[in-house]
Amino acid sequence: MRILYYPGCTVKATALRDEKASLQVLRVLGIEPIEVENWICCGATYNLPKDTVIQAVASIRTLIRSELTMKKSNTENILLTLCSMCNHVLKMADNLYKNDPDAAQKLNAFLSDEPSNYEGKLRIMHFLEILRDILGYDKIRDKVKRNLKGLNVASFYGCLILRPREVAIDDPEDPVIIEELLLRLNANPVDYPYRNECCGSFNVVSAPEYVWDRAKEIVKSASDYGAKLIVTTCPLCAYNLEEGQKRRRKELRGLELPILYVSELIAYAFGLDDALEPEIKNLLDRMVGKEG
Amino acid sequence: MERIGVFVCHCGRNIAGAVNVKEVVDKIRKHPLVVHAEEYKYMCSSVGQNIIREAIKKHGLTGIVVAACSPSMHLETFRTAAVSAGLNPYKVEMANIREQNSWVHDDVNEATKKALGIMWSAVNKVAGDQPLEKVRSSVKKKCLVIGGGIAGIQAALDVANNGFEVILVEKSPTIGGRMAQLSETFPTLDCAQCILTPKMAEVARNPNIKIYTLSEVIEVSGSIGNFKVKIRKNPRYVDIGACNMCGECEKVCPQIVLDKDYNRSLTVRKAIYIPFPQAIPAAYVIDASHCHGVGTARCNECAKVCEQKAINLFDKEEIIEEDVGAIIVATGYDLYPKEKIGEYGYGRLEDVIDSLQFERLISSTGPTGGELRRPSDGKIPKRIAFIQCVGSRDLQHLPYCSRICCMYTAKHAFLYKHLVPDGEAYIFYIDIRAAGKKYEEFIMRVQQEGRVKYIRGRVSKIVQKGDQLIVHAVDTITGKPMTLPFDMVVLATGIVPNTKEIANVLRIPLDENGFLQELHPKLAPVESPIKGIFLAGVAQGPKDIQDSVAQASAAAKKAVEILSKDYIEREPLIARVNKEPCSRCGVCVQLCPYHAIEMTPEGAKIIDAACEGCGTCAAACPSGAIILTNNEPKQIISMIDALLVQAPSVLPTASSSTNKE
Amino acid sequence: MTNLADKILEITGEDVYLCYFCGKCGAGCPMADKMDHLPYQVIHMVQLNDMNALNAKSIWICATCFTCSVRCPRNLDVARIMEGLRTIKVRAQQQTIDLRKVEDLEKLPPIALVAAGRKYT
Repeated sequence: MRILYYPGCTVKATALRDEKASLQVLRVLGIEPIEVENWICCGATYNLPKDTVIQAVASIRTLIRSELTMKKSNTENILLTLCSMCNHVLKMADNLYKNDPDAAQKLNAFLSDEPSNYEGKLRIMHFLEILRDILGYDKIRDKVKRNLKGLNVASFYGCLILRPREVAIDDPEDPVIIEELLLRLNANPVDYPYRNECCGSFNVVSAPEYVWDRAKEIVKSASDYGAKLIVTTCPLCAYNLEEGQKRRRKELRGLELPILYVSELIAYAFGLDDALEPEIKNLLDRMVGKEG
Repeated sequence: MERIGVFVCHCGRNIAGAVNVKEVVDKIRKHPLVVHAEEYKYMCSSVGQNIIREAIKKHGLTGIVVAACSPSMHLETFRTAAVSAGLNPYKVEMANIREQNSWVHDDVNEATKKALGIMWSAVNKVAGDQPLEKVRSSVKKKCLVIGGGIAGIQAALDVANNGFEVILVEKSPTIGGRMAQLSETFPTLDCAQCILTPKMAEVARNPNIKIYTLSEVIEVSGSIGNFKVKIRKNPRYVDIGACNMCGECEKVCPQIVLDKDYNRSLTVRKAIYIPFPQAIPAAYVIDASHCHGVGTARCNECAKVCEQKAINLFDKEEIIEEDVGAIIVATGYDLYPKEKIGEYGYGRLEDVIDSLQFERLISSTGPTGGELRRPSDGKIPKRIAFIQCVGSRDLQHLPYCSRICCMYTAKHAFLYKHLVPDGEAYIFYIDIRAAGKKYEEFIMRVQQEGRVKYIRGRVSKIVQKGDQLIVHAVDTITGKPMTLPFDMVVLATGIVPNTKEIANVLRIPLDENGFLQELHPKLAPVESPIKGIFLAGVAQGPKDIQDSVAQASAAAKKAVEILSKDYIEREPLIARVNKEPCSRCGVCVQLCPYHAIEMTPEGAKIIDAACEGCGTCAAACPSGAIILTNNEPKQIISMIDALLVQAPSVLPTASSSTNKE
Repeated sequence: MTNLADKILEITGEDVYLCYFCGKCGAGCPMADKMDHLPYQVIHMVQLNDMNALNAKSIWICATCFTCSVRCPRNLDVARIMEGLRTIKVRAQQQTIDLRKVEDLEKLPPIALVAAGRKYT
């Protein structure tokens, strides 16, 4: 199955690890992601005023180009995203375009330099949704080569993949998608209060201290509930938690949990070693070896 | 030839302020059938009525039109006046030139023109009206009460004590309802069982009341005075008359079942059980979904030990038919499920319980014998949080206020302090609604004597940490976010009515929140829109025990009013079928809101006693076979003609002068 | 300027008069302990046409995580209201954040920078 793939800026910058692991995992599962030609940044955040459509222009431009790639490369209408924020923003823009004819008209006018209008045919799906809805959890279990038995893993969903409801990939109050995957990998999902909360997000730019405090709470709580590892799917969550626990090393008394992408853990369980950075593979080898 | 009189009311300035009354009186005289027209300040006054009576006699009128207010206001007044002058009451029509004209228009010219149109069309209609007589039908001197909670019990007793028979239908194995689950009641702290069980016993020994438990009303037809009711009585497998409650059966029953009903999953019972010791009827019951012997006797341990031979594992459901004159609906409520609230743990946190579970935990008849022990580990909670407005006043759950939670939560906190004097009780609230007699005083007592900490703020999230529950809230008075640890949390979940099935069976409309719709929110809160069916308790709207009992007595009084009549008089303005063009398509049968049409080989047949004269069938009938009496198609055409052609031809442009007094 | 509540309605489509100050937004807000006024307090100020709402530090701290919006019992999109206030400031070029002074510029994920740029300037 050939599907469209929108990387977004951050996956190509600080989250290359996620891209490498995710794409390989999908390929092993029979899905070939075709990168959208000439994609541009989605906007990273969807501005919320309703008296303008400017917040959706970049996203819709990317969606137009996705449809062009779809026709040219003969793919399914599924558009894969890896980054939580891209997923959120593209879906918000797509909803606006599909549900508000006035906004769609304005957007078309803004985007008249593109060869065609957005036809609204795409199904934007996050990596995790593709695993759950297109492939099904059982297919994941069938590919597992390494047993993660006994590995206590905390998920960190962050906010934008779960909220607002109209773009959520799962129940905002009790998401299960990562836990379901962890169970198929034979790992132990750790339930702790922060897994569906916000990491502090872009406050890292303007008020980084707040984010470090937040990261400290999250890491501490995950550890208190028994986690040895945190997995996420958002490159900003990953950065904030990783950087935050370093900055609050003293308060955390040296506690530092590995922060990985869900895709990396799956790739490791599948035995896709070349999809992983060597230090990640070594880390997991040590952890699984030690636990086992 | 018809001789019609028209009487135009000024209604003080209500009509005369916007309509040129003199002019419409002048102009209506031009109607070929009008032989008399006059005006008066207040037609409904005794002087006004006299004017009408005199004119009927003097001019030999065959029909009259009173141009005044809405017919729901005074049609009966003018009909009575006309009858006393020898006119048939169905030859009286009202032209509503107040609510539908003068009250909603300022332009005198236009309002005057419109008034004439309305009057002209009423004259055309009354000319076509047939003189009719009211229809009389007998009354079945028996009342059906649906629901055996406190509202149903009160209603049944009141009707029975007026000397009428009552059929009390309850779907569970015992009467008593929610109140039987409660510990004590606000604001007096009476023990619920102590005040309820005597009433239950009174129901049991009242010779006028027949109780059907494990039963549901599945079909109702007919109308006021003459309802035909079908009741499905599910098998109990135990003979009520023979069972002496010795309890030997329960001892030998091998099936242990979670007690989801009476004790709300806080303890277990056997497959053969009594819901609680004071249950009425006082007899055991077998829970067929958990018994391994019903229908087969594969397991018959209970039957073997029963000395009374009361157990019949082959008991079958029965369909019972009853004829009743009136119906009272009191089907009560359930709690809004805590499983629907994600941020409070979706009902999965063991020590986050709902309010009825708390009632059971502090009740002396409860699973812990009245000692407060939390479900997870049996520990006595030293810190307890009560959260109000759970589900209620929340557009994502229940938009309405459940009305009882503020009071029962205050009671809970107070009783908690009695059971655990060294414990700490917090109540998270957003408003305290204590608008009842002695309610505010009770809240004050709870605050002062109970030393209960009221925190104004809605809890956002509850999480488990170790053996404690962490509550995330804000004290909105200080504006401080807080995370507080508790041993146990009680959710004051809102209440939702049990009305879906019964509304379907009775065809009573539900309001937007699923409560049974009353006839009028202020002036007819006990009546349903269907004559002869009355409402009581939470099925009609959220209310506490006091209000439920009051409404039940009111409903009983309304039912008795019907049962004490020798006959019911019904409007003759009903539908009738012309057999000839009826194609038997059945559209009318589907649409009739009152089950008043049946299809026969000869065509549709109206059940006169059930027809309310709404006209839905007549409007829908594709072949024009159904006619609503005194709303014949030719009458309706003539009314439209009056509005579009005849009246405007007499008054194309009204004069500009207002009616000066 | 027209009154603040109307302005917010115009920009965001959210009617602050629906708020009954239950506090659930503040109770669940991950940034609440850093805020000078909790979201419902800011909304209260907007209802009262108190221009100090525009000077609240909170409107810059809100991370738009929508936790409040998902839970609001009056179905208010609280995150959108906070952003509406921010928008009024930004459109008047009165933003309080200077992106030139950001630390770790080269390390930060691009989404953080772009997002902050779009939310704050």
